[in-house]
Amino acid sequence: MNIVVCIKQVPDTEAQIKVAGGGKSIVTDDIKWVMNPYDEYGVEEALKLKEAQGGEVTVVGVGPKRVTESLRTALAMGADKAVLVEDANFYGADPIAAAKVLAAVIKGLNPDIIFFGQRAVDDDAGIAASAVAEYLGLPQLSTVIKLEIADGKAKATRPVEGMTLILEAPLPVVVTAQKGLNEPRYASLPGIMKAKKKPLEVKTLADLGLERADKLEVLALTPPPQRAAGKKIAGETPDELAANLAKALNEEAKAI
Amino acid sequence: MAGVWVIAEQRDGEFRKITYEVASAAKKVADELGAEVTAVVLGQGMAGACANLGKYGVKKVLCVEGEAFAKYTTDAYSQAIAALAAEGAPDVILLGASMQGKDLGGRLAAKLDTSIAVDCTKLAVENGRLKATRPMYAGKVYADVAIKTNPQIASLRSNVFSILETGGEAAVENASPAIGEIKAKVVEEQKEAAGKIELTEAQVIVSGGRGMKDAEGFKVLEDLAGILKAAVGASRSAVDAGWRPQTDQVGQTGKVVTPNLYIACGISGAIQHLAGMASSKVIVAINKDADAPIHSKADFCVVGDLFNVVPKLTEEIKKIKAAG
Amino acid sequence: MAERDVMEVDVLFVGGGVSSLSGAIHLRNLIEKHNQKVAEQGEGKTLDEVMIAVLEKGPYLGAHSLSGAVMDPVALKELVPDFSEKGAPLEAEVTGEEVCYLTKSGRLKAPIVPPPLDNHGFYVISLSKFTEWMGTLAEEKGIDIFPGFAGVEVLYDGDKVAGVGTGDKGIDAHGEKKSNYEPGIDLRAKVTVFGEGPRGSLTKSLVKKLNLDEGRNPQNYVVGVKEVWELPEGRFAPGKVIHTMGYPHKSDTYGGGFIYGMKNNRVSVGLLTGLDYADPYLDPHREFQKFKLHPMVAGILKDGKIVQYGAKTAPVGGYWSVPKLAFDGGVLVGDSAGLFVSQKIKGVHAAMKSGMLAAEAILQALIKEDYSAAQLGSYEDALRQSYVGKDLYKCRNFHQAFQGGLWMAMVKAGFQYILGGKILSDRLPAEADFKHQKTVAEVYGTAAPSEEQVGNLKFDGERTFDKETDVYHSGTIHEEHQPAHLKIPDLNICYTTCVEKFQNPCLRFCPANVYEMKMDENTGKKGMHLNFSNCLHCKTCDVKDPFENINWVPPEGGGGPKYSVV
Repeated sequence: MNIVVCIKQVPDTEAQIKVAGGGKSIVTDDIKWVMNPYDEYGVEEALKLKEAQGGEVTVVGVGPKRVTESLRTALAMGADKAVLVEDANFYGADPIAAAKVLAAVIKGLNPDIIFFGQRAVDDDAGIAASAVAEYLGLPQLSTVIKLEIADGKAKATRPVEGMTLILEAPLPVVVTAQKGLNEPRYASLPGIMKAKKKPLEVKTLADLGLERADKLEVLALTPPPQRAAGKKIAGETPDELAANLAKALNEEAKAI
Repeated sequence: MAGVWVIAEQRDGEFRKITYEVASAAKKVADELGAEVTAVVLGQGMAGACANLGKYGVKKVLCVEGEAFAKYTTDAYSQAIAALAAEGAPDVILLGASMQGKDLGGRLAAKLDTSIAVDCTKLAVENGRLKATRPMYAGKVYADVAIKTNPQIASLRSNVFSILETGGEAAVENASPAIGEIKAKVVEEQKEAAGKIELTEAQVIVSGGRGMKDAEGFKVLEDLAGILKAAVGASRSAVDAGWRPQTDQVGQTGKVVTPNLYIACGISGAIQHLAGMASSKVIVAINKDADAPIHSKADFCVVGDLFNVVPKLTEEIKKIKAAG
Repeated sequence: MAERDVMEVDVLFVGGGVSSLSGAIHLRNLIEKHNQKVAEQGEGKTLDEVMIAVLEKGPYLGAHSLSGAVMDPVALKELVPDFSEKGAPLEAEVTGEEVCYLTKSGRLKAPIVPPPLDNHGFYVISLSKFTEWMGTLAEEKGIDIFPGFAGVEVLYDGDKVAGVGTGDKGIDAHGEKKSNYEPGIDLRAKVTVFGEGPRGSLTKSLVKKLNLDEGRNPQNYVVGVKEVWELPEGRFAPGKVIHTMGYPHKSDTYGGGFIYGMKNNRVSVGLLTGLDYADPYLDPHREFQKFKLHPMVAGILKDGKIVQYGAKTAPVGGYWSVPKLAFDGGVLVGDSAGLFVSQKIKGVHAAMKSGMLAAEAILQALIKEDYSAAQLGSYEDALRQSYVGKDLYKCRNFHQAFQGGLWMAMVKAGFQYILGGKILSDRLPAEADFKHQKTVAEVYGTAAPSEEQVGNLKFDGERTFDKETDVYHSGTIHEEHQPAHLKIPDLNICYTTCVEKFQNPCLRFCPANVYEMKMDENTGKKGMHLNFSNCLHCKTCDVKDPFENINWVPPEGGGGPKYSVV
């Protein structure tokens, strides 16, 4: 099987996020970059599939040179080869623009299945995967917590509001991985050493005949809205407190 | 005439609440743009319900009826909407950022050669263009974004936009866009056993911390949650003490939740817990310690014994709900 | 029991701090030079494909590095002469300095800066950032860096050190294998360099097993608790250096405060507390919060915002506490070797230089294929002759001089420095820090001192923070589902002798609130609860527990603080 995994490099979740002067991007000076946590589920599922049914796992990323580290992590986990579309300024691009680049790379890889994380924890958008599926004319299975591949078909378990759906789609297919799909393996030391020798191809946008074309524009980044000072609910007895709180929630906050 | 389209979301023949929120938001945007709101309804047996959308400011409804649309599939919906949009050329398309919306939005944007602002919490119109505000980095930063091409697509976070009845009846038109093959199909629906609501999807959460004293203490919270149709969460202290499972933990090392209402009982409000619920729309703190940090982060603070207050609160809310 | 995988490397550096990285980089340079020389002169044997590996338990290099710091660039200039072009992240050159003695509300400025604290020509740095930068240099030189892997046992071939075993990953809280269980491996090396920093866990066991501390003083430690703050524009100049003594420490507690100006309106502020303190209610984190409330410090921090928090121990035993540094198959470098010069509050240059000198000895060992203590011992000789050795000797007895209290110490220390180290007796005795612990009754005259007596403080969340909030600002995170890594051999002591005599000082001395006595509401009894995932890997507990009843071992690799600017 030809298995492709798309990964994104994002700021570490413990990182302090600060808006840079100019107000349209974040300060990246002290940021540590890691593979998007949801993408790890994608890598793990790809590796499990390869172990069960044979094939090759190619991991793909777009962005500045540092993305190489996250690709190497995937290689250390067991992926076979990696492709980086290197562009120093790509971080923060419109995910649709990123999807165009990914689709161009993936097309040439002739995949049976393409894994993504269900969303990236920096932009929290989760649209690159479905855009790639559209560009490649493939079906998509989103936020999957269980996956079975057999007889050229994918069967996926997908939780939605109030119920769980079981979907089926023919291969090739795009799958986005949700937490709970699997428990990602650790990269072992021997795995890390092997990864250094695995093929990592570097392309540029020009190589793919593409230019970055963002249709989504960030006008401004702002800190989260400040909460106004809270109100102390009046009351001497629990009865009073409860009554006043219920009233406030119903009439003022319209929350119940 | 500029068009603002709403992609309605239905399930089992009924519109989901988010549809009314999106319609209301669309009407506001349309008014500012000098445009009209058109709703696209896909389903089976929905024709009768369509006109009702007029209440929320929808002028016209494109009703796409058929077995293929009874239940949501990416292919059927995205192809149908794209075909209609290619013809109708709306300026703006709004949909809910529900599970369906998150699956549909990106596909639609790619099909229509445009982009999308996902999970927006605010919409505005500036210079004749939509300006959407959306959280990033788990809510640590908010971004004001615009889409350069038409249609400008935005999905709206649920429970944020008010439902506004502006009155009227919508004109319903039947539409039959051609769709191709539906590759990914739903083969089974497993309805959830009544009871447990997933924390990250819950609109209301009642949460307990160290002040709950033991596992039994959570009973009063479960009663309150029952009446509010809420999920029950827990702070790290309660989970560490073994009173609640780790899957119920809200916080830095637990789940990040964004409910409409978060009621924190016996929770001190350590920064690690706040990291998990600070984006809640309304925060209530019930804690007998007047100095607990949670009080300074809450919208409504009750300094009192939760074991006395919470059962009373449950009763009061029952009364309010009964009064309708 | 399943056989573990073995990976052979030539030289293994344990700990990805500046001592190891300097050693690795220098060794690579030396090998290149050697091979060049062999090629030019046509004689001798080249050293081909020497695999140099660095093992680091933190998730990236610099994640567990913390210091003040003011660095003497002497070693940096030797190792990387073009450090400026290579983008060394130096915050600022030291511009102005001040040493003052603080009282509760005032301060006395020293008329001259005592010579040991003269920092002219030195640089304010963030050790975390500096370490990260050194890591990039090391990687460029083809050194294999392995972050996220903890060394948990020393491997021996008889009495010869043969390498280090890494920890298993994917073990749950009950010790069972999880689905992603990954066993550790045995990293075998010709030479293993231990640069684990202060109170290294492997170093501790190694020193004991090989008797490396025979005839030496036990090591003594301080714990440094610090925060980096962002201040209003222009408030505190980059390169401005302030050292303080006195408040909040009582005269029988060793330590002092520091405030270092960094660039971009940031400032490093911290307090060192000697771990030989007697008061079981002393809380180094709390004392640091008090320090920030002193009018001078508060004035500097006003309207500022905390950026990061951290804590770490540093060895202050000095010359007499340095163990034997070379043994069959390995050496000790940096703070693991106890090379911190406490009187000057300088350890970075010493750590770097020790790594470099170790590299020189290792080169010879590789050429001669002789990895014995005798061969590697040339490192120890070279260290003694170097500026590091000379400084350590000159400042010997500095810490020990403080046993009589601050004033006596200042006198002794002053004389000691002027006299090039010689005081009344040449070597002052010293005891391990935990032995200095007095009981609650001894210190307070009562078994239940009041809040005021104990000096408790209410944290305001703006200028002062409770431990949980500060821990959040350290970025520390661990895999939740794993066994607690603080090993308490006899939990019963906690509920009996310790609580009777000392009232569980671990509840106070841990700057991360790892140790908590939780009241079970139903039984009315208290139980020891370990918030192990708060751990900052500072090692205070390993040093200070009065019964030596806490053994700090590395948790699953990749966990711990995520320092970036401390």
